[in-house]
Amino acid sequence: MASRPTVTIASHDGTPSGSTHPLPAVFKAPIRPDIVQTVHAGMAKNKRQPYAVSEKAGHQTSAESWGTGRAVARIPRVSGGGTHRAGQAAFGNMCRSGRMFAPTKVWRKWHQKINLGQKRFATTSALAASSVPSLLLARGHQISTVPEVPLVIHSKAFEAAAIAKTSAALKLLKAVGAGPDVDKVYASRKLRAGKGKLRGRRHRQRRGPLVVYNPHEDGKELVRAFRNIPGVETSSVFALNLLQLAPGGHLGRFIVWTSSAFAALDEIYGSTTTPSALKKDFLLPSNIV
Amino acid sequence: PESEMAPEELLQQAEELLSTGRPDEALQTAARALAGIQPHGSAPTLASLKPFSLIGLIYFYLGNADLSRDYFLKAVELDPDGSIPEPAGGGPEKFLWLAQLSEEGGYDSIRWFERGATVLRNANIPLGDVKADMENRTRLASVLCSLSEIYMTDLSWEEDAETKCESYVTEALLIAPDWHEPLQTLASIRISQNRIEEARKALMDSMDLWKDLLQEDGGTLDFPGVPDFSAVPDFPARISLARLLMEVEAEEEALVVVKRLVQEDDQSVEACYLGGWCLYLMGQKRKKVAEDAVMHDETQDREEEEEYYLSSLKESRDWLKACLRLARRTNYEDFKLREHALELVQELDKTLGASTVETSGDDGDDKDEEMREN
Repeated sequence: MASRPTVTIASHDGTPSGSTHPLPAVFKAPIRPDIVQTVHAGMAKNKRQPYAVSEKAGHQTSAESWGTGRAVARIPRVSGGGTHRAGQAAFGNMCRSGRMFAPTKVWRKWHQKINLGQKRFATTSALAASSVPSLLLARGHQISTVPEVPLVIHSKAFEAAAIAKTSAALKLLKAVGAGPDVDKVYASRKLRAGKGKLRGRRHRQRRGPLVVYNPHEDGKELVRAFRNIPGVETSSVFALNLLQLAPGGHLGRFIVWTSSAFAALDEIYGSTTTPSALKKDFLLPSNIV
Repeated sequence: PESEMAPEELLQQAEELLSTGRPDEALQTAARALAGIQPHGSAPTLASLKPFSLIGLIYFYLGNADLSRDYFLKAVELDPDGSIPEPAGGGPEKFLWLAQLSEEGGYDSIRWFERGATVLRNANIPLGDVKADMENRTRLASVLCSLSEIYMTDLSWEEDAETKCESYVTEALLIAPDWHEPLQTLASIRISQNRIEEARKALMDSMDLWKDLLQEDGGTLDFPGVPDFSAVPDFPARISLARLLMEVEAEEEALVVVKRLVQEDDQSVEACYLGGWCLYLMGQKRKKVAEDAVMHDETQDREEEEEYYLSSLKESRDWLKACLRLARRTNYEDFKLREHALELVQELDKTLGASTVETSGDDGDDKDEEMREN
């Protein structure tokens, strides 16, 4: 069996702790950017596929299509009186004149089994992508000061709720080289005038690092500590989801792992030959020749 | 080696390849399986059903509607009433795809969907199998909602359109009362009937069923990282939901839905358009509030309201500009949507003064776009 590369585990001050861990198999899962888009958008964006039109506002196969997003002035009712039920054509009439958006046929996926497989694959693909520095850089993460990717911090640093305050969390991130990525988020936020109603966030927020922990060993105090740092998110290693791993549908999230979360990955995702302990019949996809 | 793999194994491999984003290879593998099962020149037997169904699906992924249809039709010939079990390639799926892929739409789709519905209505679910029962009911409800939608669109001018819609959605609601889809479809019908309050209620009831599942750290029920999304409408359905919410003037809720969509896929022209249009509407409403404050001579409120509505309009313009950029880049085909977005941006430029700087600091966005282009 080919030996796996090892990852150095950093201690709380950024220096190597002396411990290492073999790279979990999930990081070698194939990376396929379009699978994430496929899962999210249901193939509606692939131009090769004409049925994408179902998702578009206003598309109709019938000639009565009247357009997108416009509140059209009500046209006079056909003869028969003032109620909306007047005349047999009332329904079509209402669709045509009374609505802001023309009704559309919603695109549906009828293939459940493949769909589920795609979602699983997207998750492992996104995890694998998080270990590729060029993808993180392409995604806009500032990782030049990070000693190693994946970045793993020894769980000792979190023992006994050592990281319970935001200041401690920030200090830790800076010590391990994640400072610039956090600063990038600070810099991109525009402070609103201090009037209550003007809270509200821009639709696209810069994402900083995702801190992944193992609740069984690292506890949960750290969640509160990291929560107030703009752009920083936390997740239990048992609850990783695509939204955090590939925000906006883009692969390459910068992840900061605790060592116990990192160690749990083989158990959770298994390998190409050993099924995941948590999902008995799932094997990581290998690059099938 | 693949040359020695049994057709059944090859089919499994093909499914795996499809699941992992390799439809070209999936096609080759499935074709190999078919060749093993049905040697060249021989007539199809039931054993060809599974490869036909799978190849039909693969061609859909490859964007070839015609070949997709061809293979699903071949499958229909072998299993015309869908009574062959699904693991062997039978079941209702092929009818549903044919309905959805139908170029004619209208009654052609209706016929295919009805055939699928019949299979699902007659399915023999083992007693006590809760999961299979739920799956069957939600699938059938989905088909009924699809049928309703044909009468809301292609066949909306038929004399019995409204009656049919009501009848299909009623059946769907009876079969799957605790599922989002029939309620959402009901809302759309009610809007067409100008029964807005009932529509609003149906939408809120529908969302109540799943909105808690959308928490960002909501994790797996079945597999790490894969939330149990069967209870949550998927992307296209939520695009539709955002529109419906805007139609009943529930703009705040619509914006929440859209923001989540953009988190999942920030390249969606539709989502950006809806977000922009929604913020525009909110801005106009807030403007009205500001103007009323003027009328009542409440100067302090007026200033705050004015800043509030201006910030909504500014944000609206950002979204709409993002929408137009994306639409250009992806050659998005719906020109009416693009025209409308442009019209709104031009109007907003007049109201706000043309901006040279994006208020949301889009440099990073452009960077993302650049990177994606590589």
